Amino acid sequence: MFFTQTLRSSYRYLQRQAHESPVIFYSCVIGAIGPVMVVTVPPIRERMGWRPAEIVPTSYPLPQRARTPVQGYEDQ
Amino acid sequence: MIKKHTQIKMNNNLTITIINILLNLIDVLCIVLPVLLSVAFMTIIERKQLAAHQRRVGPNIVGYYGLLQPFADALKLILKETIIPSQSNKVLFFLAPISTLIFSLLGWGIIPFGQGLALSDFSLGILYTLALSSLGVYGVLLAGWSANSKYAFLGSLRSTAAMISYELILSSAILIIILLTGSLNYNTIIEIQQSVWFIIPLLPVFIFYFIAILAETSRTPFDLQEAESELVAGFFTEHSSVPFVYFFLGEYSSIVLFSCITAILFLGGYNLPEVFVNNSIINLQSIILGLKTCIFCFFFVWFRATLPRLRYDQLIELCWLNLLPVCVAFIILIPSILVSFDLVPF
Repeated sequence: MFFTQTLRSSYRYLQRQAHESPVIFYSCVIGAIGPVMVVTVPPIRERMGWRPAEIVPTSYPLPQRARTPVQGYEDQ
Repeated sequence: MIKKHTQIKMNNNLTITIINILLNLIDVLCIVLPVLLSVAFMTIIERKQLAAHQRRVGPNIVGYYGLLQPFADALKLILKETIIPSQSNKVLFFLAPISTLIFSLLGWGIIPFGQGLALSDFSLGILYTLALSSLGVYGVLLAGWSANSKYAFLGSLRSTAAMISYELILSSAILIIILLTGSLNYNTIIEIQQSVWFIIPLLPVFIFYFIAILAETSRTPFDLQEAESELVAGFFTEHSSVPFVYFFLGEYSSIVLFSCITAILFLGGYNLPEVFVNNSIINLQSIILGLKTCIFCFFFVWFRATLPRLRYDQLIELCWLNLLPVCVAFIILIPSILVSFDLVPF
């Protein structure tokens, strides 16, 4: 009973705001869609088979061997 | 001997510097002269188009189809007497039209007319444009203050408030494009639009942007500072002859400039979609940009012919209470779409 009443009054309030100040109301709606998308869309995409792309390398890969400590001017 | 050698070297350096300066000046003239010519023709296009909207013939006496009308007008204005109000601030009175013209012409320095066809391929091009459009307010403000006339002063106050307010909308719309492209450089923005012009995904943003540039260039329905019925001619009521010509040129130059920037930001600039391939030796990029610019110039005049002037409170209310909330909503929505679909460009 309480929840039905609260839901109904909230709905009535939103309906009134949409009628009285439509710019503010629909701006809030459009703006709110954004954060909701950020939270909901990536899990849905992952469930549908999307995997994040590998991070683009920004340096040369390190060689697959043990590192030898540098003594001096080895490259000369 | 060494002294003579050094002298020759210095002379050579001087010659090279002078040649460089001359070449730069020729570059600038290659841009400025066609711009001023296009401004002249913009006036006749406006009068002809307004006439067509109102089912009149329009100017058709001077030259074939009235094409020489702007030159006749310019000659008339230049030959008129320059009247300087006795109680005006003389320095500012002349500085205002000059600064208006210079700031509106400076914007052309970074416009790419084709690949590599720009005076400067500035990496912060958009910031430069926004800065110049902010500086444009000073010409109006100085003109209104220096003329020592109530009409001019009221006109300049209205104009300044409107320009500063709408700059917010303009910057917000441009910010969304910057978020999409990850660049402030015009060439990069054009190249990114090779697949789709931004006017298609960003149509609502384009509408705000266009309303903002109408207000920035003080065009109908936002031309309150020139409300003839209330303020004679607005901030340039006291300016006559050559100073008036400067204001006139500055105003129309900024209309053409903003149309060009709109074509770059929303219609892919000098590029056409990849279905139209130009294999010929002729570079059509500048012509394509020109045609796109003409579309928006047409819009400017179309709105002038269609819409009535807003009241001042309506103008400010439209900006702060209507456009700004929607703009902020889109500033939140569009980056969120980019993040959620993993499309962030940087």
